[in-house]
Amino acid sequence: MKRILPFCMLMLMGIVVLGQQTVSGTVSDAQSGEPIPGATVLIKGTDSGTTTDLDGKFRIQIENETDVLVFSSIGFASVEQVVGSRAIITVAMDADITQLGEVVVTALGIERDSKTLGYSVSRVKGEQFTKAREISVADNLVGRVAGLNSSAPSTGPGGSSRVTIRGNSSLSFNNQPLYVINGIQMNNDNLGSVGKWDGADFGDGISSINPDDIEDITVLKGGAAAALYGQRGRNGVILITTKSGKSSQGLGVEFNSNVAISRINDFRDFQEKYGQGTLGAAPTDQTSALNTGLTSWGAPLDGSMVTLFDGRQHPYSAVSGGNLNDFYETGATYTNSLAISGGGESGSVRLSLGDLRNTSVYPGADYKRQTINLDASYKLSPQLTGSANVNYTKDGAGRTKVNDAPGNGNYAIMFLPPNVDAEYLAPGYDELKNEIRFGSDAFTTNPYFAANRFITETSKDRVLSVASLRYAPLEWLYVQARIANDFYAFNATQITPTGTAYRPTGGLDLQRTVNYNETNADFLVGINKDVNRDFSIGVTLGGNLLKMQQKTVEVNASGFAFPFLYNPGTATTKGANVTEPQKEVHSLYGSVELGFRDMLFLNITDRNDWSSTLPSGNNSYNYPSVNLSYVFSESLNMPWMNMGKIRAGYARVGGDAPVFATNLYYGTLGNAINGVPLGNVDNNVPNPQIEPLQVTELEIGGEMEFLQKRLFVDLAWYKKQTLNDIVNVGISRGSGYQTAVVNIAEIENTGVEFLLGGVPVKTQALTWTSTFNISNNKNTVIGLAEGQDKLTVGESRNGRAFIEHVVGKPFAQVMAYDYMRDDAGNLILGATGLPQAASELTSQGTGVHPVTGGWSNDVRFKNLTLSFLIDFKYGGVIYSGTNAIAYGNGLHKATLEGRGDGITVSGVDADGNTVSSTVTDQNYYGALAGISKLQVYDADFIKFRSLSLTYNFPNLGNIKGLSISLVGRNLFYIKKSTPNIDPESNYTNGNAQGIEYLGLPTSKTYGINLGIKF
Amino acid sequence: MKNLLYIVLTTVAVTFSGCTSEFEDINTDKNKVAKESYVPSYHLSRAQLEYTGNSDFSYDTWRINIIYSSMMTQQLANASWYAGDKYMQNDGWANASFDVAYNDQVKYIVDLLNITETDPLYANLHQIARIMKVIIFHRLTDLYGEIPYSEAGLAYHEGIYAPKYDTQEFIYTDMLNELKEAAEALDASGDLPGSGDLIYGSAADPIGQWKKLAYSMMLRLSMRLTEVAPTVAKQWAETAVSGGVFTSNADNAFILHDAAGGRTTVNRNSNILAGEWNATNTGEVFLSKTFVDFLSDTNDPRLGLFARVQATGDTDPANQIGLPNGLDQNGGAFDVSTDPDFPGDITNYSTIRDDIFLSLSGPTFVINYAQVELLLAEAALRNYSVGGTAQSHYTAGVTAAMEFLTQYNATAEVPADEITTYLAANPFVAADGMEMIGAQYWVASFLDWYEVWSNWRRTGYPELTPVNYPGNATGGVIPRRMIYPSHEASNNSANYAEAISRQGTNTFLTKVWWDAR
Repeated sequence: MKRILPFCMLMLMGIVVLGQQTVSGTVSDAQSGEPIPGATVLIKGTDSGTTTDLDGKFRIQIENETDVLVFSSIGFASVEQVVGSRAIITVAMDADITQLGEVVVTALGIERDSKTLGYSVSRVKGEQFTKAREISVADNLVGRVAGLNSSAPSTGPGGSSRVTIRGNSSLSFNNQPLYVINGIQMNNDNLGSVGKWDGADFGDGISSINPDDIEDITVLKGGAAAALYGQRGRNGVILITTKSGKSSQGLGVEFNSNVAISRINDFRDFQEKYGQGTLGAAPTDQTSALNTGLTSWGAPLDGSMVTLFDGRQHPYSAVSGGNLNDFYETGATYTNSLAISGGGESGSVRLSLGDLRNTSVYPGADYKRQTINLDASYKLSPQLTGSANVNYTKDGAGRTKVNDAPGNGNYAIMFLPPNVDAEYLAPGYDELKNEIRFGSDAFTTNPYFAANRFITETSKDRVLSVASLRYAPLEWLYVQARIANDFYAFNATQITPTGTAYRPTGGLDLQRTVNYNETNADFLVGINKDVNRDFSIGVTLGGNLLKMQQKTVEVNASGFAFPFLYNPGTATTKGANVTEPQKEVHSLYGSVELGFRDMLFLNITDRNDWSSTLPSGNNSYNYPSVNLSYVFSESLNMPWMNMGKIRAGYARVGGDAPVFATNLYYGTLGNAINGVPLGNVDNNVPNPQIEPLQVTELEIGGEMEFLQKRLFVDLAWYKKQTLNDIVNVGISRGSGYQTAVVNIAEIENTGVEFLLGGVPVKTQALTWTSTFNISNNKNTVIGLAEGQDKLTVGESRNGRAFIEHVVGKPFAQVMAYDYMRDDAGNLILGATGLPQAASELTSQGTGVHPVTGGWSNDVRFKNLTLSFLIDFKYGGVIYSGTNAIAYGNGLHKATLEGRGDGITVSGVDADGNTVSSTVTDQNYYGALAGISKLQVYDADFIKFRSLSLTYNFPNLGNIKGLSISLVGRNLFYIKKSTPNIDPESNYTNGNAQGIEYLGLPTSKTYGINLGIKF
Repeated sequence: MKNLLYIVLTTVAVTFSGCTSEFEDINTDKNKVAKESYVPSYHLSRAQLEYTGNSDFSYDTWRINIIYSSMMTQQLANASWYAGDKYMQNDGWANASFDVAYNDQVKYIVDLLNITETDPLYANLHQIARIMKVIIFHRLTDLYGEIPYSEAGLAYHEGIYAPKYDTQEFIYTDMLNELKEAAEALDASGDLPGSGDLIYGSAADPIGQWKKLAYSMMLRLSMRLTEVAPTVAKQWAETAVSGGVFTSNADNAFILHDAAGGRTTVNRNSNILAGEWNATNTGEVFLSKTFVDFLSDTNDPRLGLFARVQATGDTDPANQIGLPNGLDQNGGAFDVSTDPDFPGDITNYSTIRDDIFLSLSGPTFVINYAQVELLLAEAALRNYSVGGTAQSHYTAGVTAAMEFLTQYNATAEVPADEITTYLAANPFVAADGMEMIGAQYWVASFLDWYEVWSNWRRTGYPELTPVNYPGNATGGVIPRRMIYPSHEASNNSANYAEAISRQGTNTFLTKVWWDAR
């Protein structure tokens, strides 16, 4: 305060000296009632003005009563007030939802007036994340930003997310945007995801960020916005700015507490007329019960007593309805964060501590996350400012396996026959900790055993740090140097426990340690000058040096000396491997911004990268961008239009290859046979001729604000093309390998984005703000290698559905088998009279929804705010493994048709002769389980995503803000068309979108949030 | 200020210089080696070991050798989920060899041929690789018929990502030529393969052994063609004999496993049947009634060595009961209890003696002398000029088949007098020669069910009565071929479609070229 006082006095004195007629007042946040310091107060049409002090107070000298004062502050909608005869003016500013006409943070942290930008930028305020929150920030973005498609695989808390902006532009590699946290480029690699066989989701980078720390998020959608971030920005950039102490008045304390509970969604609608058994008969003894563990082809349920797998008699009646709710628990998440901040004239500090504790709905699974964020900046001299930010996150998770049946508790629980109560299977193991089998197939693990005994654990320590010095010797010149580092140490352990039916001696399947370190050193030189009254010029030159090093150590072991002890040191067989990917990218770039009369802006950028992952002749690539913004409202005089702008931009972005992809390497397997080493060569063919890939993007758009910003609209059209895409293409096993790295693909994304917002109601007491966004992205795979018309990226565990990129169709086609038919459309029946699957896969649609959008609303009545979000996705399909299995084992409702009587199937035989015969229901629907087209469903949905009701307590003395909210998330579907499953249940966040296979059921969450500021 | 300047200047310096001289070093994987620093014999070891079955939990051994081949040929039986017992179709299992053999056998052997091609240091190793390549493709083509062969394994060396399928006729012709050329090129005074050769690395004369192996394989390949191309079969069988085939059990080609390396190096069959999976001790895998009855009906002294009652471990030949194929445990019309010989509980059926045949460090046979003699017996019966008579070769084959069991376990000795007694009681009758030889080949190839199934497909002996279980994929006929993986339809579509159009639909019932019976 000592430093601040003289500053305030000086200001007051200045005003007194100049004083003629003065107006004073207070500017505050309409929502919270808190004062807004640093807000600009300008006399319209002049250069004279002032800023509010730390208590939001201002005092200004005016010429006459007709003067209009314009109040503005970052993040708030500007307010204009005619002074009139008032001596005191109190202004309540609403948060700016339009994000137009504001200063935005763009690439490399350069702040620019949004009207000068020739490309589309969206902003989301931090508070959107703290109430009806998801554990991962990325999952909160769903439905909020036009053109952004966010989804979470069905893998539970601490799992990964998939965010794409303007579609998918790479067939094999990462399509997610670059996350930049306070200027630090964060690695968002998935640390382990699910493939065909089994697996668990080990989470990604963005899940490490505490939503409470977020000040705001800026989404740079297009290539033009991202050109300065280089190749990693080609999928768009999400800039996250965490809170700092800048706006604090002296010491500030903020506390936020959130408690939420979750329950799973049970979307099953299975038949409950027939029970366990086969060929229409119930089990007769324990052995036949074991042989039909998950088979519901038994007799009609009649309530008689039947011996089940446990050798006991149980009623043969429908008791499985509560199985999911019995097995899955009520999840709970407790989030607490505390922040202390302080600031003054020459510096500010903010320290925040966050703690999240979650117990999953999956028994035994949990997620914990502790974060510490320290942000500080200090003016070392009037020209030199130093600032630093350190974000430390420690997280740990006990996770579930998903997909295949071994060790996955989500599998068998779904398919227990109607007469089998989950409780019969609990706790899943006997007194010797051996799995209690409920079926003869040992690979279908007892769900309780899977949950109680299998171990899938991860932990991660992550430090994101950045330090920068900024030297501004002249008003129009600055030089900045910055070093940013992203470091994490990750551990994963997967254990098949002693006593597992399919592996009685157990095994340490994986012990992985990853140390990742990426440093970006960069510099910027910036010049901003108004050349004369009409022209302004800004030049930015910079360079970046990226250095990435990773070390992964993996150990596995089996044959343990002691049961239940999984130390590889006590194992007779062990394997170990070390991998050390590394790369460097050197970059130089520059940007020139020209402005004309504050209405026409031209921005040209150019960048050159040199990457170590490309072969020496091909490792340098250059890419320019140009964009134009024309604020036509400046030259029109239309009082009802506050702002109108059109923009156009073109950008090109290059990209390099995966590491070590240019040479064939030789190694050995971990184990030798009688002392003789066994050679080993990767199944991916390298490519010494690989070239950089290239993405180009053309964007045209416009934005307008009407009626004092009561109505605003933003529209964008883009065309994005990927050439020379580097693809890990699946090749014939006959080639000796499984995949090859090649520069072949060409992809196009064309789309429109539309945002319409407004404030339909605005009175002193009641404000209703509403925004609606929708986007449609048309993706087309233009070309693959010569002679190749599709590229397989994923396969369902049962081998019946594939995700393929097909030439001429959109990314990620869900490929399935239809019935085998002759030219006349007759079914071609097999030797046993059953329908058969066609020999060729046919495309059923894309696994990625082209249409996404959302409608979000805030209704404020005095101190009470009701917010809700409804979002939707259209145009995608999903293959459901759950439904396929339910056909095969007689649980699906469709299998009721013809039950007991057999089904008459007519068609032709292999020679074309008409045949007809009656086959058993079991064989018929078993065959239909393999006709995978029948289990591909329209994955469209409209979802009531979130609801929150907040009460802000007014004027509580020392407490600057107190709010309490009731929140609900993922509440219900207004529309969905997938039987038995959630349409949002992809099991991977990778490119193989469109397969559901026994993930963790989705849940709905209810909670209460308390926020206090001192 | 100085720091700031320093950072700016260094960054500028590094970036401006375009300093990329270290890029190649940065992009080099230092945890592996380049071709120049590699030890070629490691490739031979890998390919040989993978030929015995995949190191990923016996992937193909379990699916093709055990689940399908052993059950279809009625040496083993299962009353629950082993699809081959009842000719049920499981694509994923029937694809297994195609799925893994190219990546884990063909890739290594083709790369080894490339590495050794022009290097005089590895002249013999190169010929050994050629022979090993034939051994690998021989099994693959027998399972699937037309397969990628001439263009296989060349993705790196020649950029062939979608190899064409060759006809089986072409493949057999080429393989026979390769065996001849490689055998002739082996140089007794040249380089030795060393311990990296898991078959003959420790033999006194590895080069001489490989020559014999090449000609013995040539005999096996030639005899595959008896039905489809009899004159070709005759010519190559005679070439093989004049080149010099196995002459005793000491020549037997086998790979000895190592329990210490876990799934990577253990005996593949053993790990499933008596190791980690332990299928013979959990009531899953039994000896088939067909197999037990054949041994029992002929008073074969091997019955007590092959069989034990699962529940009790009793090895008394008199107490062995085989499980009929085609049964289940579901209490219906196909329940095991419907077996007239049902011993009260499924665990009272006989299974394989794990103490003799299923050691985790036990051998996997590539080809044995008994098989060679039995093939010679058949050749003689067909009047090929292979020396000896059908009867002399039959006697030598049966004798060898009884004697070589000690190579599994020293205790598995069939006393000489019992062999004599057996031969006296089951004298060779030329009129039944094909059937007798076929049945003995069937027994002599126990555990190598790939070979058991192929020879049965060709000869039809022993005569097996198929089962006809509801929902089977063949209408109650023993399958004649395994199934191509569906990823070939997507990753190699044109060549795949061409192969199917030549060979017939991708089903169990389409016969491979040589299967002309």
